[in-house]
Amino acid sequence: MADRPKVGFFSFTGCEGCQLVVLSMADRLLELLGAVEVVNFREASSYKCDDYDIAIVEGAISRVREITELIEIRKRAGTLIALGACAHVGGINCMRNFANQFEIKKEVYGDKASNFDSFLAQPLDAIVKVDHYARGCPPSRDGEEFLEIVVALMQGKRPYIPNYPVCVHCKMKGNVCVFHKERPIACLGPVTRAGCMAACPSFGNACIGCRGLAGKPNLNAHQQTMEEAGLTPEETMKFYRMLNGMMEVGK
Amino acid sequence: MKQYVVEKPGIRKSVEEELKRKKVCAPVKQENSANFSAIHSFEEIVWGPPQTVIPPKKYFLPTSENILSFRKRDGGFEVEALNAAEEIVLFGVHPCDLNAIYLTDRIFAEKNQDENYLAKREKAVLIGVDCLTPCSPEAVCLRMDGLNPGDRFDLFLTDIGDVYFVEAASRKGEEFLRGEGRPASEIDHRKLSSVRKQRDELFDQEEKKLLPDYNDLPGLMKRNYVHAVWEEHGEKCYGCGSCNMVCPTCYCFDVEDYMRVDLENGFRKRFWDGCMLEDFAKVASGENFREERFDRLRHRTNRKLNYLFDKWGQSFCTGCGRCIKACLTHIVSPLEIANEIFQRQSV
Ligand code: SF4
Ligand code: SF4
Repeated sequence: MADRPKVGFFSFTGCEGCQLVVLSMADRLLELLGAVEVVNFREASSYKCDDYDIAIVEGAISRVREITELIEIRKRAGTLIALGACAHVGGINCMRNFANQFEIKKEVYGDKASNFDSFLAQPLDAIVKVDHYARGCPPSRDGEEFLEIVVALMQGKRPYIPNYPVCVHCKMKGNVCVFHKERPIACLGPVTRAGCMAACPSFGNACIGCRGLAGKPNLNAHQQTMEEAGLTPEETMKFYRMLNGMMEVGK
Repeated sequence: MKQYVVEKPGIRKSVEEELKRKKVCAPVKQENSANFSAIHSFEEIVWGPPQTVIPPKKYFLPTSENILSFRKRDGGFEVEALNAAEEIVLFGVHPCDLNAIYLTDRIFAEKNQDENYLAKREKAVLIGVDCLTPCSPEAVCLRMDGLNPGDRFDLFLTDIGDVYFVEAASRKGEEFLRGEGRPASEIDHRKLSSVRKQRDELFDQEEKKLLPDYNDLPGLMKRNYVHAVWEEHGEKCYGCGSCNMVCPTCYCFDVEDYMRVDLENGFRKRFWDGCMLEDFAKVASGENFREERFDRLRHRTNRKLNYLFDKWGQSFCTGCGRCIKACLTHIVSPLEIANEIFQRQSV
C-alpha cells in the first residue's frame, strides 16, 4: 500500500459508538493520523471526499438506501473493514428480525410507519465482501485491535485475530469462571471469539457474544453447559440473538 | 537435605522479613476460589484449599511477555532482547505445583535454553506447603505421583501440630529461615510420618483410584491410540484451551510481532498457547495436523501420560485437578480417560 493511505469512515444503522471509540484513542489517534490521511469522518469533521483506499464501515444495513451506498463504498475502496458488532454480525439491530415486522415498525414510527423502508437488519457481508473485521461492541480493547488491523494492513501483513473462544483469555486473566462462581452465571464465552481479553467476565459478568462466534464453536456442547446452568434451550437461543441474531458459523 | 522444626511464629517472622525486601507471592482468596498474587501481609495467605485457578507457572512463563524490541535502522533492523526478571519468594506452593515446576524446569533448560524462563526461575525462592487435606474435590495428586515433592523446592513446610516440620533443600531455603528453628529430632520425624500417613488416608478415595498401573500409562496410551474414547470425548470438547491454560505442566506459547503505528518501532510478544486450540498445529500452507478436537484431546492426554512420561520418567499430569474443574464439559481428566480406556479394553 502506498504511503499515507487514504481512509474513509462510514456509518450505517448503529449508535456510532464505534467511531467514538476510535476518536477517544487520544494519543494513539494522533499517531494514526500521522500514518494515514482521513478523508471522510462524519463524527469528527464535515469534510467529505470520495477518494479513499481503506473504507472503515460501522453499523448494520437496514434500509434500501444503505445497500446502494455500501455497494458504492465497496467499489471505491481497495480494502473494507467492518468496524464493530453491527457491521460484523448485525449486532443488536437484529433483535428486530425475530419480531413481527409490522408491529415493531408501528411501535417505533407510529402511524408514519409506512413511510419508512427499514427492513430486516443485515451485517455488511450479507451485501458486499468484507476484508477485515474489527470485532466487538464497542470495538475491543478500547480500539487497540482495530489499530492493529490498520497497522498490519499498512505492513501488508495479515492481522493476528484469535479464532479460539474467550475462555483462553479469561483463564490468562486468572478469572474465576463465571459458571463456577458461588452464584453461577451463564456465559457465551465458550463459543465466542476471543480478542477482548475477556472484558465482561473480568468484571464478573457474562460474555454476551459481541465478537461473534469462535472459529468452530461447539454449539451442542454449549447447549449442554447452558442447561446445566439452568437455562432452557429457548432462553439460550434468546441470549445468542441479543447480538448474534444473524450468526454464521466460522465467520 | 536438612530438616528442622520451626515454631509457627518463626515462619511468620521469616515471611515478614522477606516482605520488607522482596516481592512475596502466595495463594490469596479470590471470590470463592484462590489465586497466586503478591501479598502485603502474612494474613492474606491461603493455606490449603481452595486450589488456585492458575498455577504458579505464570511467574516464570508470563501469560504475555515482550521478548524483543526492534526499530528500523539504515534499511535494516536494530533489535534488543528483553528479559525482565525480579527477585520473588513464592510461598505456599502445593506439592503438585512443585513437581510441575521441576518438570518445566527440565523442559526449558533442555537443548535450547530458554533464557527468559530460566532468569525468572533463578531469581525465585520456592517455599512449598504440604497439603494435609485435598485442596479440591478434583485433586488426584496421590494417584498421579504429585503429592510428594521429594526435594523439588527450596523449603517445604509440613504442619505437624504446634510446629512446622521444615525441609530445606537449598541454601536459598536456609536463608529464608534466618536461623529460626532447631534440627528435627527422632520424635519430630515420627510425628511427620504419622501426619503424612493420615494425609494419605484422606487422599485415598475409592472413586479417584487410578485403575491401570501408573508405570503402564505410556503403554496403555500407545496400545489405545485408536480408541472410541477419543471421539466420544472429543465430540463434547469446546476446543477452548481452558485445560491448557490452567495446567501447571502445559508450557506452550505463540510468538507474534507487533509494529507501532509509525511503522518504525515494534516489539515481539510471546504469549500462552494451547494444543487444544484449533490453530495450534496449523502451518503456513493451511494444513492442520490436528484439525479435529478428538485429535487434539488425544494429543494432550498423550503428552501428559505417554510422550513426556517416556522421556522424563514420570507422568506430566501431577494431578492438581485444575483442568478437571475448568473443563465445562467434564471430559478432560487424564485419570478418568485412562480409567475409561483401561476398563473398556478389558471387557
Ligand atoms: S493435566 Fe489436569 S490434573 Fe493433570 S496437572 Fe494438568 S491441569 Fe492438573
Ligand atoms: S477438554 Fe474441556 S477445557 Fe479442554 S479444550 Fe476441551 S472443553 Fe475446553
